[in-house]
Amino acid sequence: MQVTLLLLCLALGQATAPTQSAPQASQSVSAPSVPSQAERDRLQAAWKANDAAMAEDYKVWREATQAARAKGLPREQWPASPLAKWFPLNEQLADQGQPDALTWCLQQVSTSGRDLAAVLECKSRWYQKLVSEHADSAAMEVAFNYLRGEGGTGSLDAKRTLELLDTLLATTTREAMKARALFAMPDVIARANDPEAAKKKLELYERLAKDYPNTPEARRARGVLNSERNLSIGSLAPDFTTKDVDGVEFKLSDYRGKVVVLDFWGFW
Amino acid sequence: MIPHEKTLVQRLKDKPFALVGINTDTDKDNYKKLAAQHGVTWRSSWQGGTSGPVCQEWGVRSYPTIYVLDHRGVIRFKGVRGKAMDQAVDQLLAELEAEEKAKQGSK
Repeated sequence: MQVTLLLLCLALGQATAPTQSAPQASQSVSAPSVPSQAERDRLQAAWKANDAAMAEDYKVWREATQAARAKGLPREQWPASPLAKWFPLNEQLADQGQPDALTWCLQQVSTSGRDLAAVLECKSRWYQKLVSEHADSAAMEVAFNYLRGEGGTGSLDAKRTLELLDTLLATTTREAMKARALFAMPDVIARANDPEAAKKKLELYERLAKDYPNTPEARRARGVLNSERNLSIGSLAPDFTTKDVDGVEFKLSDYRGKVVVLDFWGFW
Repeated sequence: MIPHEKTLVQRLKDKPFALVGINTDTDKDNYKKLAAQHGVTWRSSWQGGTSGPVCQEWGVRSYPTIYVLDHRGVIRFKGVRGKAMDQAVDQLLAELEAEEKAKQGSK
């Protein structure tokens, strides 16, 4: 109970903390001693053992569920998911900083049966560990897909999500991940109903296009900037050279002198 | 959407008008089959998907997206569909004709 209260206080403290730049905030939250290589190897071996045993448990559970369904048993009589057994075990590894366990717990915590405040406190703490200590890991790649979806109702609040993305931007050495972090920010800002969201989006896209020009995200950002600036009514349409379905090259400007309907479409 | 555009292309086949598609299908053979079935006669750029180069350069996020350009290549209408698209095209064709008449008149 005391622990829960303490955690709640921490979570509330975070939510109401005065504005400060994100990297500073993150460093003050997480300054744990970095585990030794031997310790990290031990944790990874423990995760691998859990992961293998878990796969077996889930397989047995899926088969038993199928059997129960085939027998027409009511839902209450289907076997319980192995989550209740594995969540506490993996959480121990997560709390010791094992990146794959962190990512797994982040994915599962919403259905772990905790109340929302506890879920958000865990998420905040676990994302923090990943972005500050494992920014270049494969586990971060996976967790990033969860992180960029936060910021809405019932998830981590937008301010905290942006802090985490900011930290990730500073800590990762990989250009692809930096570009993804920047590209994710406008959506999170928009989820917070920030009145300046549109302006901030263009600023972030400009930064993305300038700092990481060769990434797919920068190409998309340039397209949005282009359409905001050069594709308004009254602008000369920017020319492009392309190939048709038979591989024959043509340019938009080939049609100069004609009225043109330019139609982005597909049968799909 | 396609029947409408087909009608427009047929109606204006003798006018200085072109419908230029930027196609975002992913399967070329399937596209050709469907294009033949639906009577799509106009030219389309092949993008190979919705993240093709022209779609990205133009920042297109939803489909269909339509721009109507006048004979000078200036963007005059955006996002017009159906009847509104027809009216936009007719207006720009009328402008072009009026301009050419004025040119001939001044000779």
